[in-house]
Parts: sequence; C-alpha cells; structure tokens
Amino acid sequence: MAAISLLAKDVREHRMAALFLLAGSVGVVLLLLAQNRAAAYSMSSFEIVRFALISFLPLITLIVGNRLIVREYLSGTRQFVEALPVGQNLPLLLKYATGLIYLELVAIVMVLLAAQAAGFADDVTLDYLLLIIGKTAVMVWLYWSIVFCFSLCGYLRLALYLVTAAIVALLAFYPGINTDAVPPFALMDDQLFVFERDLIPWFDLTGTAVLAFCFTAAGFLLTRIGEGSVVERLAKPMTRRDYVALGVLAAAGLAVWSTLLERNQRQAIEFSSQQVIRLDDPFVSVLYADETYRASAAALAKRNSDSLIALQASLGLARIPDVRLVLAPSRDKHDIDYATADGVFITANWLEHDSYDDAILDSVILHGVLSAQTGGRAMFEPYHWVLDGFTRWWVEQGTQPVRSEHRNELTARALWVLDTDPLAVDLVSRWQLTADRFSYPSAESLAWSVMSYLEHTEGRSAVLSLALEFLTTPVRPTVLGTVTDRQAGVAQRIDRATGMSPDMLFSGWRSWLDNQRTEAGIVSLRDRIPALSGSVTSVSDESGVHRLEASYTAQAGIERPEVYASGLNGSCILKHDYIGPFDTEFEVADDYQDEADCQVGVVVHSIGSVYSPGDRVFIALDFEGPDFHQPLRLHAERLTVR
Amino acid sequence: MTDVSTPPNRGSAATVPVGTVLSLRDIRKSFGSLNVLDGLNLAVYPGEVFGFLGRNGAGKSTAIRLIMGITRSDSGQINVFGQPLQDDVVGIRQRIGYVAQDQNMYPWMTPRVLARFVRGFYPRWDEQRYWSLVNDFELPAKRRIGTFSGGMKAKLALTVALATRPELLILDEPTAGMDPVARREFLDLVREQTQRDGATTFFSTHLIDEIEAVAERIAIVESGQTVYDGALDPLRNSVNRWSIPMSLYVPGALPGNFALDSLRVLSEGERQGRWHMTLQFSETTLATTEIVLNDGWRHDVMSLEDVFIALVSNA
Repeated sequence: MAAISLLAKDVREHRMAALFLLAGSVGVVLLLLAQNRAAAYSMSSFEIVRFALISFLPLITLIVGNRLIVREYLSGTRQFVEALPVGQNLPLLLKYATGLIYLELVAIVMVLLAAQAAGFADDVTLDYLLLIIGKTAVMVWLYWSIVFCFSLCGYLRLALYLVTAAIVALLAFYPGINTDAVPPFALMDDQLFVFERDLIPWFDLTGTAVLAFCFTAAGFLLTRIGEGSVVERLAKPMTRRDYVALGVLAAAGLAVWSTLLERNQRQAIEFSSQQVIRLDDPFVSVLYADETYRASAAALAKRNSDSLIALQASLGLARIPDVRLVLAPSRDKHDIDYATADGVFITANWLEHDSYDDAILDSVILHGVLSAQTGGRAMFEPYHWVLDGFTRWWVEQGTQPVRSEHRNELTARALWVLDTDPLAVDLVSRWQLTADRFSYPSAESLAWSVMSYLEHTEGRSAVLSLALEFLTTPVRPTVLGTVTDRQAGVAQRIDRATGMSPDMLFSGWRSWLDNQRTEAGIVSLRDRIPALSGSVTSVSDESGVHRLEASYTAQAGIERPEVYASGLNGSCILKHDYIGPFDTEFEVADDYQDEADCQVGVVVHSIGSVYSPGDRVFIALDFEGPDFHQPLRLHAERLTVR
Repeated sequence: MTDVSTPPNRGSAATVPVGTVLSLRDIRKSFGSLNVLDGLNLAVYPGEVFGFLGRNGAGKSTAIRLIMGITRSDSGQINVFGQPLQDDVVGIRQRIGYVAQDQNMYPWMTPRVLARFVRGFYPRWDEQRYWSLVNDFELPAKRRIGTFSGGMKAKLALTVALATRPELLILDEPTAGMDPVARREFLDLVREQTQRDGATTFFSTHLIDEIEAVAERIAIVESGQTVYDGALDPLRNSVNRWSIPMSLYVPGALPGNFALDSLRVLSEGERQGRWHMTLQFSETTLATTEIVLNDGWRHDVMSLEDVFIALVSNA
C-alpha cells in the first residue's frame, strides 16, 4: 500500500509534465522523421534516435531528475516522507524505478517510430530493431543513473554537471584521445550505433551498463553516508565560499582546456616537396613527384584554378576551400581517391586522360569543393542530385560550350537509365536508389541533363540560382538557425530557384530529353549499350562451399541472343565487395571482380565465395567497352549471404 | 561550588522502566566529533502527556529522530510499545502519530489529496476522524497547502497525526514560529484532543509555559543527557533559591543546616548587593528534612522557568 501511495503521489505530481515531455519528444521525432522522408536512402531514420540520445534525451533526463529527486530534497518534503511508516530505501528506490521506466518508455517509443519510418528504405529485422532498442536502453540507463546520482548532491549538482560536460567534451573532441573503444562513446559511434546490425557490441554495452550501475550505486550509497547527513548538507544552499571554490575550479578547467587545445592544434596538410605547383586565391596545389610530369600538373592546376575563380565569381562565394592534388602515375586513370576532411584532397592519375576523363576528374574536384563549402550538407540525399548535376554541368559548360562528344555520351547514358527505370525521373527522393542501381556516372548524367535542360529553357542564371539555393549554405550552427532553414523544403527551394515546381521541372526535362533520342550521335551510342540484364544467385555446392553465380539474359526482341551477346564490343564484369552492416551509399570498387565475355543462357560468372553466411555483399554486373568512358551497370543488388 | 555525585531525579541507565510506552536507555549519538546525545535516559508511561524540555541544540530533535527510527543510535536501547525499535521500525511508526517541527508537507497538495496520500501508510487510518478534525480546525479542504499559514500547517499535521489513531503521539516543537495566539490555540487543541483520545503524548519543546500547559511529567535534556526526569511539582519543590545581604554573608556558608551529600548547588553568586544560592534537593531529603534557615537568609520565589534555567545552566 505504501509503495502504491508513493507511486500514485509521484504520478499525480508529475503526470502533466510527463505527458508534455513525452508528447514533445514524439513531436520532435515525428517532425525529424517527416523531414527525413525525402532522404530515406541517404540517412537512416535510426540516426534520429542517435541524435535524440545525444541532444534532447539528456535534457529530458535532467528535467525528470529535477522534478522527481532534486525538488524532493531541496524543498524538504523528503523529511515528511522519511517520517512515514515506510522502509528507508523504498521511496528513493521507487523514484529511481519510476524515472528509469518513464525515460525508457520515451526512448523506446522514439525507436519504434524511427523503425516504422526506416522500414520504407531498409530491411528492419527484429534482431536489428532489438539491437537498437538495447543500445538505446543502456544509454538511457546511464543518463538516468548520472542524473540520479547528481540530483542527490543538491546545489553541488550544477558544478558536477559542468565538470561532467567538460570531461565528455574533452574525451569526445580532444584530438589526442581515441574514444573508439571506450564505452559509452563507442556505443554512440555515429556509424556503428545506427548501421551495426549483425554484431552485438557486448563490450560497449557491458561497459556502459557497468558505468550506469556505478552511478546508481554511488547515488544510493550517498544517501546512506552519515545516515543521509551528507545528502542533507548538500541540499542546503551553497555558501559564498562554495561559489568561490567552484569559480576557481571552473577557471582552472578552462585554463587546462585551452592549453590542451593549443598544444594539439591541427596543422593543415601541406606539401613539403619541391615538385609542387602552387596557385593562390583560390589555393590549388598539385604534387607531381617527377619533373617529367610538371607540364601536366601545371595545366591541371591552371585549369582548375580558372574554373574555381569563375565559380567563385558566379556564385559569390567568399572563400573557396583549399584544393590539393597528388599525381599517382601507377593508378588506373579512373581510380580517384577523394577526401574532404581538410579542404579537398585528391589522388589520381590524369596522365592518360582524354578530355572526357579530365571532365570526370574536374567534376570530382568541384564536387569536393562544394561539399566542403556546405560542411557535407550537399551530400545529403535531396541535395545530392543538384551537387552531382551542377558540378558536371559547370565542368562541361560552365565556362565554355559543351563538347558534342561529351554531350552525346552523357545524354545517351541518361536516356538509357530512364528507359530502363522510368522511376529514376524522381531525382529528389530516388537519387540513392538510382546511383545504387546504375552507378554514380549514370546518375550524374541524369542530373547533368536536368541542368542542361534548365540552361536551355531558363538560361544559365537558373542553374546558378539552383546551385546558390542548394550548394552554398552550410548547416546552420544553431538549433534556431536549423529550424528556420528547414522551413523551406526541397520543392520550395526548387521553385524559388527555377520558378518551376519539381513536377514541372522534371516532366519538362523528360520531354526535352526524349526529343534528343533521335539525334544521330546519340542513337549511335545508345545502340552500343548492351540490351542485357543480369541476375545473381547465392548458392552452396555439394561440399558446402558458397559460390556467387551470375548470368545474363537478352532483352525481348533480340533475335539470336547468343550471337548478339558474343558480338558485343566489351566485357561483362562481376564486381563484388563486402558492405558490412552499414546500409549506406556504396560504390563498389574494382578490387574484387570477375571479367568474362558476355554470354546469355549460361552462368557467366561463378566464383568461390569469400563471404560467410550473414555477410552483406554488394554485387554489380557492369559492361565495359570502348564506346563509353565509364562502365554501364546492367544489374546491382545488395545481397545477404545465407 | 559544591556538587553531589548522583544528582536527585536524574534518569539512570540502571533503572529499567517497566510498562513503558517508550523508553530510552543510555542512548549515545554523535555526528563526527560532535556528541549530540551522551547517555540519554527517559521513560514515557501509557496515557500520560510527557514534556520533553531542553534548550535549542540540547539534542531533542535528534532524540526524536532516533525514536522515529529515522536515524540509528550509536549505542543504547530504544524500546517502543515494549519492543526494541529496530525490530520493526515500520510497524512501530504505524502506531505513532508524528508532528514535526517543520511542516514539510507537499505544497501542491490539498488536505483532500494529502489524506489520499497518507492513508496508504497507516492501516488504522480514520477517514471520518480526519475530516471531522479538518472541519473542527476550519482547514480549507480544497486549498493548496503551500498557501497555508504556519499555524494552519501545524493544525493539519496534528490532524493527520490524530487520524492515524496513534497509540503514541509525538510532537516535536510543533508551535515553533507561531504567534502567541496561534500557539495558545494549538496547545488547547492538543490538550483537548489528547484528553479525548487518551493517547500517550510526547511533547518536545524549549518553552516552559507550553510544558506547564500540557505536560504531567517531564524530562529535561541538556548536552545530550537527562538532567531531570519526573513530575512537575517535585521539580518545582526540589529547586530553591535563597539570598543573604553581602554584609552578612560568610563564604562557604549554606542557607540552612543541610548535609552536603543531599543537595546539589546549581548556582551561587552576588547580585544587587546580595549573595544568591540555588540548591537542588533529592526527593528523599525533601520528604525527610525540614528546612530551617540560618540567620539573614531569605527564600526567593522561583518560577518553573527559573528552575529550568538553573538546571540546564548547571548541567
């Protein structure tokens, strides 16, 4: 009865606040999920759970702790309860359980809402869902334990929260500390928390749970020290001396923090070699390693510098991120390494490039520049098509007329994609699916042709407006700024930049593109795209060895398919790679591939598998021939090995 | 100053009270280096109103916290209703009505909600009695307790305590902070209700007039020890003050022909041209010895407050 009375009292006292917090949390999550629907394939809905766990859930925990525990101790009502005929630990134990259950409920509701939304684009299995719930529950337990323990420290809790926040910031952001293996940081890893689906991170879960237990035990212990006299003393207002001590502590902490930051300030990467072409404003440097390549490096630096100067003027950018390029003569000409952690850093081999290959490299450089400019925002799905389309458009025709052979190849590729998958016309919400299925070069050709259409119908300024709208503003640094920024959806932004709704834009583009399919140069290229489709099977032979097998079929209307396939000018290539548990965007490399003559009706590729049951593998069937600079993807799928 | 080794009517660990509602034997409690209770002894008998008197900081509230089982003593034995307190703290508390010094009831609750909350803790809760007391005390049932005056809060606390139909009612300086009118009103209520219920009442206070108004027997605590445990009248009789003009005073002289081992000198000294001497006699001495004053000595009338001050100053 006593327990029921205490519970009923807490429910009565806090029910409105509890409902408000639950409704607020659900509202925020639903809002974020609604915003994320447009980007279902580039950001998992579970990332919203992680965002909630590191942003507003700690705040909710603080509010709950403040209402359930701090208020009871600071107002003295605890003394009323402790004189009632009830066990000494029961009231606090009930408060602990009530807070924990409530917070776990809020968190699990958020996970379930996210799981429902994630189901649109992802295979959310029960195991995966339980894993996310488990991680979330353990993190919530840790938060509640910390708040529970600190809430019993009266006025000192404010200082304890500040110190904890400083320690967390130090561990999380100090470059000299690697928190990848330290729970709970490892548990909250931005990739693993959301995408890890096969392995249970026992160490991280246990470590976090042990921490939570320690804080819980410390809280209960605190109430027993000196029969609660310590807690009672802490519940009294701080004296002037306490404030001075805290001030000294805070000043010392800040001094240590700034010293550590100063000592570990990162220096920008800079080439120290003599064989470097350096151009300033915008900063472009090219490391060429051997004097024989100097002319080629200088030409590349000059070409890109000129392009960036023109871009800066056209878009009114205050500053362009630094660009550093490294020539690696041993690489394949299409093997480009790309990083944007510190400006744009690209390693490639351009020695055997023709103009089309140069355009590919230049658009990768520009891709990096605009991605860095927006702090990665331009890579976000609803914006990604604009980034890819605009960079290629700028390289091809931003400062000079487009070369006809480039135009024909890009247009033929775009038409092939739309003929194969008409749904690909929806660039805004199916960008990731299209890039997955047809590879990035093909997706890029679609987006490029949209920009060309826009230039053709509305003029160059409309393309620049679109770029200004999507590719020049970084993620806002404040919550208010983000909310204000997010008020304008993708459709509204397209309308604002082009004067057309997305439907108008894409239907007009589709018609314009269709009108070009009869041009001789395009017809010639389209005829050389193999009319094949592929399929992949995951099989185990009699001895239990797992194999991946792939075969091709000719499209309807092809007479004598066997002859047609053997007459194709190029090779059929199976590419495969382990994608791990992460269901994010993926471009399969050429590292694991099986090349063969194209045939139909037979198994063309049969490879002994290196994969184990449960592994997730990306399989692509590409056609490579002399007519197109980059492969044509005939088939692609993400496969779970059984 | 003269003293005796065993003061009269001082609670003793050697005495084991029989048939008590509450007994404390040689209770010691310290917080760090501070000894708050240093061998406290007292006994409360069924049906009596027991006054627990002491200065601020004498250890009254600590003793009550021990009796309520909120804290534990370092040594000694507390028996409530004939059983050791630690055997069943919760069960014993269910039979005790407690009015604390500070009324820390939830300010957002109304008397109605408070009753709903508290009744879950007391199997003997008397809802009818609660509401009858609420009406008698003119407490607004639907108003938030946070808006109540100090007196109203104390009345509500007494209401709750009485509605539990307690066998022992403990009042820990319940009138602290009340104005004289409210204090008098509250004491009248205590007297009236305890007489009606017949519950044993343990009334802690540092105000002598409160004790005089309600208590039949008292214990005086000072520096964590019982300096007097008994009825009020013998206390009044046992402590007497005499004075003599300084011109007649012979150092070391006593007001009468008393045996030194039968008394305790509580205070002596010069004031306004006279030598004053306050003495405490044992009950036996008072019963068997006739006080015959020496020449020049005069008996000065003492109030209970004077007696109390003399006792605690000397403790």
